[in-house]
Amino acid sequence: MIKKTATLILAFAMMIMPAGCGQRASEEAAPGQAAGGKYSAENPYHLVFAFPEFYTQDDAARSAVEKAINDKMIPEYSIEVEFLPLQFSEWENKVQLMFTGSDELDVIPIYFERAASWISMDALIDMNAYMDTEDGAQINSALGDWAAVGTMNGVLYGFPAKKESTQVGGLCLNADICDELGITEKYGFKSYDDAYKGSSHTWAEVEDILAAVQKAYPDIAPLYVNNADASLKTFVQFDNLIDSFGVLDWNADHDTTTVVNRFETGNYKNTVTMLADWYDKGYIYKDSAIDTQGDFALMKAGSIFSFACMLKPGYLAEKEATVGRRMYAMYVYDSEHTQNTSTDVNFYNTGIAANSKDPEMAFKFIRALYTDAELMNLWQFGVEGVNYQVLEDGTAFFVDGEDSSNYTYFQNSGWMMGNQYIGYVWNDGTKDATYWAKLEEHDGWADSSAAFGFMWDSTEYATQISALNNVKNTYRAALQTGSIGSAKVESTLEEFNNALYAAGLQDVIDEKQRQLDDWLSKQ
Amino acid sequence: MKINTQKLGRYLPLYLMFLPGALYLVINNYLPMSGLVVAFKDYTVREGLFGSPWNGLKNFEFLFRTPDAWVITRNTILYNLAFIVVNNLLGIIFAIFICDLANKRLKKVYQSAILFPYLMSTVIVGYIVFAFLSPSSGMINNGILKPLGFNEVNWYFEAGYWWVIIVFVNTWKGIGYGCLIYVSSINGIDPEHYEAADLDGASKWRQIRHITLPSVTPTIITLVLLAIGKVFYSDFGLFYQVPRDSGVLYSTTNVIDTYVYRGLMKQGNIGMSAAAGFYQSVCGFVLVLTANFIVSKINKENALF
Repeated sequence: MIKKTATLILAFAMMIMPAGCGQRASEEAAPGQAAGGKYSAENPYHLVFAFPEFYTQDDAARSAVEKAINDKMIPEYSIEVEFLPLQFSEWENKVQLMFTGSDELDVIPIYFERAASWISMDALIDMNAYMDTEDGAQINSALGDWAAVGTMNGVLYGFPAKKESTQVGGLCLNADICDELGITEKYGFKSYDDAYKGSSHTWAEVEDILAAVQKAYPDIAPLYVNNADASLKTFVQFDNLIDSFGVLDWNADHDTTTVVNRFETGNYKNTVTMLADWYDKGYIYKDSAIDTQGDFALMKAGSIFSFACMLKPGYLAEKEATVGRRMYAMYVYDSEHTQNTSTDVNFYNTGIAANSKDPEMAFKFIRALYTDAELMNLWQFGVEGVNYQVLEDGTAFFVDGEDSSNYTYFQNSGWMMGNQYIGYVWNDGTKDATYWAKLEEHDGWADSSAAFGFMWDSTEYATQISALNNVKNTYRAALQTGSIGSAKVESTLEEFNNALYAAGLQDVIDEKQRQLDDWLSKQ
Repeated sequence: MKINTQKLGRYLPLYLMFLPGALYLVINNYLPMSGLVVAFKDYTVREGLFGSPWNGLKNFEFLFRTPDAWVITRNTILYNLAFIVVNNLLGIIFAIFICDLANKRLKKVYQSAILFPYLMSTVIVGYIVFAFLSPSSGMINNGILKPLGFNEVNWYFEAGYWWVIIVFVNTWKGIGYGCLIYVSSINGIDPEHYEAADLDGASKWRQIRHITLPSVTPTIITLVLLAIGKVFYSDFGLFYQVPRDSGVLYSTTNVIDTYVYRGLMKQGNIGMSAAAGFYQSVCGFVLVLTANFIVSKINKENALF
């Protein structure tokens, strides 16, 4: 009797649930009426702005900044901004959860690897509809070529942050050891000399240096190679077309539009063979493939002599502060110009969540992030005179009495969302007001990949991609840090490629090629 | 009917006491079950959980698409079976040892010492293992193998060793918990049994075999059944943090949870994640029913339901 009743209650509860949810879904489906003139300073649009924070903030100070932003935004834009600060480690999942709930959410960051799945679940607004407006024109003039880069399968899902995107690879070396062994003189290294000038060194020269260091300091690992996929770019360049399953072989031909299997190319094989050879010779830090400490910690501890990395102007000064050692930068590159791909620019984009009650107003706010210096400075550094001051040379720094240990508000995340170049240069003691110009100059060293602006839509291939990711994880780190050893490179590559094809690589390459050809024909 | 009402009246306070727990169970464990439909859906935010179009078994495809499907299922099941056998066996042995200690204070010390690793985060355990096995600075290579003149072993690139390492680490970490339960169940045995056995001249071994073991059998069965229900799940940290996500080791360290995590982490596909969870829970459910059925065939009283 009781059992029966319980069963009935359960069955009943199960029936209620779907009904309840169905209702919510239909409400959401109601078309959001957009009307620009609907809002005023007295009746502003309430906008939720989600962004990750990289530094700890004081809650009261953050609220004060939020209020200062609203003192400006409400009269000027009829927008009342509500901050939704997220932690970097969890923001993607938090935002994704908010899509599925009925939370208020307007402007959000978007990570390129999640874009396809977020678009396919209808979580993002296609901003093409607003590009013809006055706001759209302003975004176009602020971003130029980059305005349409965040387009996937015709959906304009986000705008890239305006910041430096060109990455030229090389090495960061322990300066004291270089001085001592005469490496500094031989290659002409100088302190803080990290601007790329079009010329660079070769991997053969690097090998000589590593051998010399190993001889002099047998207890120090000469080179550290990060086990993330991105660090392959230091050694060889491909346009990975988002996921690296089907790529353009940039080093073989800068204008290629043929999608090939990266792990079968000669360039890939040569690179991993060189690394394996170095590993066998003891040049590469033995724990590289499974390391979780990272290059800075190891450099600081003195366990390594150098690490492979992406260099840019200002890199040395920034890193020396973290590492606490003098270092030299060594660009290693086989051609004068480096490559610029969609994902170099599109790493993080800013877009509008489908939760937005009025995407047109959200779009207006995004426009302000690209054009309104006052808004950018407020959001990034807080209130002038309270949180930061403008120094004589036109850079910004904490107010007197505050520094990085006792500040109350400091975001400095303009490289992730919005237009970094319209705000102040943050003077951490190593930069001056010309820093933005230096970065823009650095960007000039890049040639765009033939597929620049192309983002392939992987929605229909989610099954293959997840299977491929598993295969790639099995072999990649061991190969790309050399840890596999010379003897096993050949057989591992063969095993790797067989497993990739078994997981459906050919389907993905074919579809990518089809989408790319289609995209190219429309350019 | 009359009797029923009487009965109900008598037991009403008990049912009332049961109500909050039951409500909690319904709200927390049963209502979310309706969300399982998303495993069969092409989920979109606009149409919601129940409005999204059906897409059959497409979400499950990725689990079975590659030869990995066999490897991860095999690893998950075999590891869990090994854990069940080793943990329970050693747990009982240690529990018997601890219970036979005459010194009360030492008894407490041993009991706490053996439980301590269980309270440690797997991330920390991963670092402890790394301190032993690291290729560059590990204790085993540099402190034992090298001085003794053996070749160094690159532990994180040799899959063959890892089934031993994983089982060892899991036992080291988990044994305290099972041991604790067995200690309390042994303490619950009436001491008169042992006194009588002593008088009759039964050896220690006979006492264990004929008094202790039969008395803790229900506990063993409950613990094993509970563990069997989780055979398709695995301690994520143990298989991800401890081998430090070294790809070369996947043939012996990849389990369903880590496979799903690695495959979907970058995409964040809700349907496919739900499909993986669905697969695990259905398999676990079937296993519990089967195991319980077998137990009830052997000894009806010991079955859970």
